[in-house]
Amino acid sequence: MNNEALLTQEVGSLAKPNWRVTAVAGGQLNSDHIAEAVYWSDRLGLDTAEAADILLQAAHEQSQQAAISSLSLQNIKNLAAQQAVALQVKAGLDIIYDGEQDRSEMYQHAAARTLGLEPRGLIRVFDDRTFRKFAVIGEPSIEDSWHTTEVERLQRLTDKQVKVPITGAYTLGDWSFDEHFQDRRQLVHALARNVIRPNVVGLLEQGIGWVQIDEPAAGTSSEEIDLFVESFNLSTAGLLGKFSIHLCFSDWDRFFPHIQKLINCHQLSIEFANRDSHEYGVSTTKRPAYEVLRHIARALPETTIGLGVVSVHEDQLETPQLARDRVLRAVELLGDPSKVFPSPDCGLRTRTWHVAYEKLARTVAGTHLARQELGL
Amino acid sequence: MSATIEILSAVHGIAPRSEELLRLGIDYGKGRVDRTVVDELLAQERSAWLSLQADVGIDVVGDGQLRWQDHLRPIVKATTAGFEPHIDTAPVTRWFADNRFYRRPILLGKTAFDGVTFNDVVGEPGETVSLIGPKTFAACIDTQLEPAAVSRTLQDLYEQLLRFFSNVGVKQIVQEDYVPDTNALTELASDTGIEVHRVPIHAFEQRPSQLTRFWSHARQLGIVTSVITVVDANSTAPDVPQDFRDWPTEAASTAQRILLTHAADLEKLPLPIAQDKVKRLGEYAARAKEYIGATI
Repeated sequence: MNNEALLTQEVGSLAKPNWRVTAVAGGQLNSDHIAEAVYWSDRLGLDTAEAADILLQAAHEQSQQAAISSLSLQNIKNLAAQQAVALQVKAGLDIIYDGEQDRSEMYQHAAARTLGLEPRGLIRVFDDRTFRKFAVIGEPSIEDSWHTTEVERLQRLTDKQVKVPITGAYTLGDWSFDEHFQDRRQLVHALARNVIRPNVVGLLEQGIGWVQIDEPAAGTSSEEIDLFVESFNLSTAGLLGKFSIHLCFSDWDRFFPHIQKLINCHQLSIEFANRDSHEYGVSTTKRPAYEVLRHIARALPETTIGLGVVSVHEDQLETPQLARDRVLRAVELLGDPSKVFPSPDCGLRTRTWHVAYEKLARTVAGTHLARQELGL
Repeated sequence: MSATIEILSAVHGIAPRSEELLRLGIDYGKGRVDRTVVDELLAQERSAWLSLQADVGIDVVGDGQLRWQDHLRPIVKATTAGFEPHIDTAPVTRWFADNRFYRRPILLGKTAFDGVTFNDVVGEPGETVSLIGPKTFAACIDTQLEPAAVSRTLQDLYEQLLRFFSNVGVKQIVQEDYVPDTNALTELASDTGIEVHRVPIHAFEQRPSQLTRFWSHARQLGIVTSVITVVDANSTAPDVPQDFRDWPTEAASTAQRILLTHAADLEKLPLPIAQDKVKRLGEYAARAKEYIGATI
């Protein structure tokens, strides 16, 4: 049995529980919130009494003092992270994180912690999804590593393999207004050198072995793929660790041949299911989204693939058989199951925990079927 | 040399929503507020967007199309045959060189557009509507049809759209081309009385600093309506009115009409910044009209 082949992984975010959002926003906790927290602790095999105590204490403080104490608020955040970790473990994932429970949103969390940036306003992305857009107004830098606290907590919560997602320099620059450099290359290089690399170094010093650089903006402009590649290399080159890149919702053809210049990139984690057919089968016509793997295998023969096998933008649940066929197609195209890491297309923060759990569990179940099919 | 040059300013495409409206949209999606609450604020913001343009003298006034989730979805939702159903859960796809996204439709065959459904989805259109051109539409869909069949099918769809818009009183259409297109929509609209303004978003996207090169390019192509993007929807930087010295001779030998507008959808900006850009566009157009009027 090959235990190193077809390892399943998350990609980043999970939704934050209503009770966590309400408490942090200063809203009134009620019995539904307590019931929800207890439900998930029960379902995930955690201590239900502890969950109830944490929320009851916070609700009590609201009734007595009109506000939740900082200690109770921290307990609530910790409970959300504990449940997010447990959800992924119960779903059967091999490589996990905490669902980014302490992060407001991947861009905003990073931008708000970067010196030299300030907020400008809310922008709609699609449907009703939004993000708060910042402007670069000075030389960007950081005071402290952004993820120290959440990583310390994670290391207390699990001994499973973890992969820490961090927003990349190109995306941080591309999603910000540039009111300082007026030069894209200078902007992105400065963010890579002064912001992302110090954060990566901080994670490595905390004992994190694998850092995922999230670059959803990387495919925005075909003329700037080289700049995205430079930013990754500036962020990670020469550092001792495992580094990967998450890309999504782009035209993959744009990335060639530039991605051949990536240094130190262990894995490309890519969204595929969103654009794939729902029919069973492993042929080119049944699995059109995965054809680009042929080119990636040629361009980056040593790089593994984080393989999106479930979509994150719909509640419809993929069957394990469909996930299986997507995995099998990727194995066929890459020629080596140890290069395939089945995962969701992207972070699952826009789905409820019920749907997210099912999507992750079906990723694992489909992978199990693929392993059987391959005799692993 | 042209006898007269008409200068028009145009605001087109999808406008930004206020933070309050964006939050209401999220709340509505989660079942926390009624549709009527959202619609009320939508109507207020549409009204404010129109007033702003009127106040600064914009000539081609767009209503912001605030209920359009993206450039394709309302059309697809109102098309009862011809597209794969369930557009609300179709694949999320990047909108050209942008960090906004849309749901990618799948074209199956001959379409049947239904104006009643369209009005239900986004409300009755104002006098001006922004539409992506047919070639941009074709670039944004998936289909198993042959290119010629796609072209025929979309031409038929646009004919239906134009008939509907004409029937409900639309006077002007701004054709936004994210990929190069022809004057197909102008020709299709010729019997409807609707005037079409083409805004080639990418093909001729020009910053004022590039005007000299632009005039030369426009002259070579024999373009009589020149589109100049004088405010930038990709940046918070104030758009400073440029020097008009080169305009009279260059424009007079090239253009019969100059359309001054913005590059890309203003929805890429937070609302207050977009509002400021619209004001600058109005000021710029007023100065251009005054200068050219006095010079030619």
